[in-house]
Amino acid sequence: MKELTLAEEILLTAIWRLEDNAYGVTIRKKVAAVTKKNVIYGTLYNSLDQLHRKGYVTKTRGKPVAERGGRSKMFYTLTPKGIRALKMARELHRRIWDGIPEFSEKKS
Amino acid sequence: MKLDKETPPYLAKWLLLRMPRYEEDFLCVGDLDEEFNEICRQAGHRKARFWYWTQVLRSIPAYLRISILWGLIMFKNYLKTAFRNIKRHKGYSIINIAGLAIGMTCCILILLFIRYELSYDTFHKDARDIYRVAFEIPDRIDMNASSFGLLAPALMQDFPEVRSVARIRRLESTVFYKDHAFTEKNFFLADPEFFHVFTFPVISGDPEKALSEPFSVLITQKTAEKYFGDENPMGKTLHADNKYDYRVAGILENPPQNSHFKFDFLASFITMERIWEEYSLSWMNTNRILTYVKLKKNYNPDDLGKKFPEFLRRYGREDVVFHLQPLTSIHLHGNIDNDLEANSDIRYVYIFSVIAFLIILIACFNYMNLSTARSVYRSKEVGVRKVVGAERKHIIRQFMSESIIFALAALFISVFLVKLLMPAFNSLVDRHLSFHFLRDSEIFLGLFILAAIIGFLAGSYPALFLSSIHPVHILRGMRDHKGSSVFRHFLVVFQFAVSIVLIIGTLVIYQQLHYIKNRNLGFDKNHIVVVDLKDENLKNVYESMRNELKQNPRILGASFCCDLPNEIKALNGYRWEGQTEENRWQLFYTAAVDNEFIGLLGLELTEGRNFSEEFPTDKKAVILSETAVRTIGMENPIGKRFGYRAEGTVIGVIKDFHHLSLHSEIGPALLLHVDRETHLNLNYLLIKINPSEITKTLAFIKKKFKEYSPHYPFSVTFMDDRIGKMYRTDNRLGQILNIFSFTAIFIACLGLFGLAAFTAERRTKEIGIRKVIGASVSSIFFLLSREFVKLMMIAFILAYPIAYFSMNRWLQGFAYRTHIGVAVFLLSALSAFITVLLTISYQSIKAATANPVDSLRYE
Repeated sequence: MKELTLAEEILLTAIWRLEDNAYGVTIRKKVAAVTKKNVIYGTLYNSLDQLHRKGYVTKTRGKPVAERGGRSKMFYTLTPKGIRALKMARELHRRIWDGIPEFSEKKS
Repeated sequence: MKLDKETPPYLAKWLLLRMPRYEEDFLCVGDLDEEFNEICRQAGHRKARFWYWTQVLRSIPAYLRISILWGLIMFKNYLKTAFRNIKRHKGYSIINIAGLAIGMTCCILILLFIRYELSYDTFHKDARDIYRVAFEIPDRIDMNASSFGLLAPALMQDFPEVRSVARIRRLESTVFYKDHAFTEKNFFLADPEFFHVFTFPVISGDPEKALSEPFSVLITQKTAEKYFGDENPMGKTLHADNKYDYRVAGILENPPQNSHFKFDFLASFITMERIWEEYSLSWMNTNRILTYVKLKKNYNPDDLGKKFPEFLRRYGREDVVFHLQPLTSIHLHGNIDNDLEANSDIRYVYIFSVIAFLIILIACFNYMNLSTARSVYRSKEVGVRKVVGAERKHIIRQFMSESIIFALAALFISVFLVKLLMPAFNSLVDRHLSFHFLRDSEIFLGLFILAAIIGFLAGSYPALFLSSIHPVHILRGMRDHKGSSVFRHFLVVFQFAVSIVLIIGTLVIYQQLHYIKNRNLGFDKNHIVVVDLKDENLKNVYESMRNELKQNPRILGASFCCDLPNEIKALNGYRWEGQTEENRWQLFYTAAVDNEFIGLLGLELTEGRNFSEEFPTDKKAVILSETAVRTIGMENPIGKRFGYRAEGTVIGVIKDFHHLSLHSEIGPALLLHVDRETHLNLNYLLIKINPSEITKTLAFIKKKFKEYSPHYPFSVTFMDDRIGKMYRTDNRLGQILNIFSFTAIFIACLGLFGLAAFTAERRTKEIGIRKVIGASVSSIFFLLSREFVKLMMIAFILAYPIAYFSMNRWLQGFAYRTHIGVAVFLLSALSAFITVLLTISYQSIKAATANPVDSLRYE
């Protein structure tokens, strides 16, 4: 299986963390909090679409919610393939950073 | 109010909804609204609205990216299905592409032609400010390209808005250099200001200086090569008409082909004063001088036009009306008397545009027809696509891209066809069109746009139709729609109506041409040989030359004349006994002829007598035409004083004859004697010959000609050919219309062939059952053909009035014309009918003679 890109990784971890409450608004906030950037919905949707096509996530339509003007949410959950990819990514990171001590204040 | 501000901005939301994919797949509106409300509560509506706007606007690029990506993915699929379909239904595909390609080829050729026609004379600097002054005398003289010799200096002097004026005059000459001798038609005299008005690139020499000295001449590159070869022509002497020596003072580039007049020689205008002893520039005669003016930049010519009446009063010609003809419109709007070359007509541009459009429409209709007819085959595919989740617009997009693929394929074929047909087309329209598909960006782009439009047009109906079918109906196996067959019938009717109009147009043109050929012109044009004479010395010896010619028994007569009977164009004013003030400026078409002219051509004298040797005073006499007598209201014309200064007498009256082409009405004409003035040249020798052993007779004529005029080139034509050439443009229109109507019919028949095949195929089972029950082959043939014949009938009914009115309008362009008879309509009906029957009979007979076992075996 191919390695995840950083963007994919960030998105998948966000969905993973949000568990049952992963939909547009929460995902965007999570991603924005992690990257410390203003995330635009358009790009977010494009990336989610790609994840969906690659089979990392599934989409389910929720019930209509009053606070959204009676509109429903689109929830995202990881597929087993998505979870496997995340595990692999974590393993990769572990290997990449293995043996490197914390950066000291001076160096950074 | 507060509530309003706490909702997302309306315009931004509207924009968001323009991105339907986001709403469909991600429910974006809900997401944005939710977060908007949150920000509203926390940071106020101002911030929230700003946030909303940024989100929407910055999503647009992302949206575009993903749409294009998906578009390409789907397009790949459409392409694949399209190619599969082309391969699977080769016959239909070939018919479709061939129809489109032929239609496009015609269309491209016509568009190139139109572009060329519109480009005439646009190469001059400030071409839009250049005008030609044409004159007209209401009720007497139609618009004439020439104008008075003294007009140019007067214009320059009286009007500050005139930047420069140049006169030109054709002076056909025979030019000699060493052993070269050619008769040059495109020999012009021009004012020194010529190069202020026009832009013709100069290679060497000072053109303005050259045109200010008498007997100095500028020649084109082509001419330089013709006479001098590798020699340097500058300063060399060209001998003209065995009398005058012109010094070559400069070389010009060959004038572009899209110029309304083409010159090979440009000599100085003042040379004219030396050539004609009695020459005078006047306000009386035009002497075939043309005047061109260049006005101040963007000056409105109407403002100048308003000053003309006053101006003309000052010079004593208040009867005249001047017209400023824009230079760039001379080629298309300038079909007036005395023009330098036979011009085209804007009507031809219109006619051709309409034809191009109609042919393309026919080709598109073919495509539509066949595609919808074949919808049965494609509808399953559409059904499956729809069930899988395709929406209507996706299906529309698919069929649109398919038709555009067809159109592009057709475009490439037609590009080759155009390349191939270009030389033939050029000789047909008598132009120098060029076609560089890759080098000419205008053409390249234009053709792709054309292909896209055609693809769009052709694909629109099949796409809308096929996408409208409900998948349940399709997959359940419902067949052809009622609505679609009505539309298909409409298309077929339209195609045939257009074809029939074109057939009738062609037939009427040929009928008119036939009429022209056979109309009694008032003189005898058969077996008359025309020899061009250039040698002025012949004037002293022509009687003895005639006598020698007449010794040959096959030569029945010989006449020396200044003008040919079919082109008497020179207009002159005269004074006569009993002239009224009203008739003061009456002009007459004047020909200078000898004693034998009337007898040789069989012109009929109604009163008086012919010119005769017996009366020496006949040199000053005139013979009027009946129309001339009627126009000036002269009673008992014989013996009345008549002449430039009323110096001669009227000795005879002749019956009217067609001294111009049949486009123009017969005007007041008169004949003078060639011996009247020394400057009246003998330009032509007419010889009536016995039709047997023509080559021998011609050899004899040549021998005699060389004896009398040894230096001049011998050129001989036949009178009837010359007259035929006057209708060259009409002939050409006939040929072109003929070709295009054949093309239109061919394309329409291609479509019909496909449609017939389809109908026969769809009714295979029905035919099988009918045959089993006992139907005969002929009854089945009749059954299958009936529908098309019915459509043909409707097409006839629609086409006839249109054809009648449009052809009647074309015929109005002739003063003398045939009328559109019933025969034309019957003939067109018959020919269209036979074509249609032949086209469909193959399929019908095939279906009718098929073994019913084969067709009923299925199921």
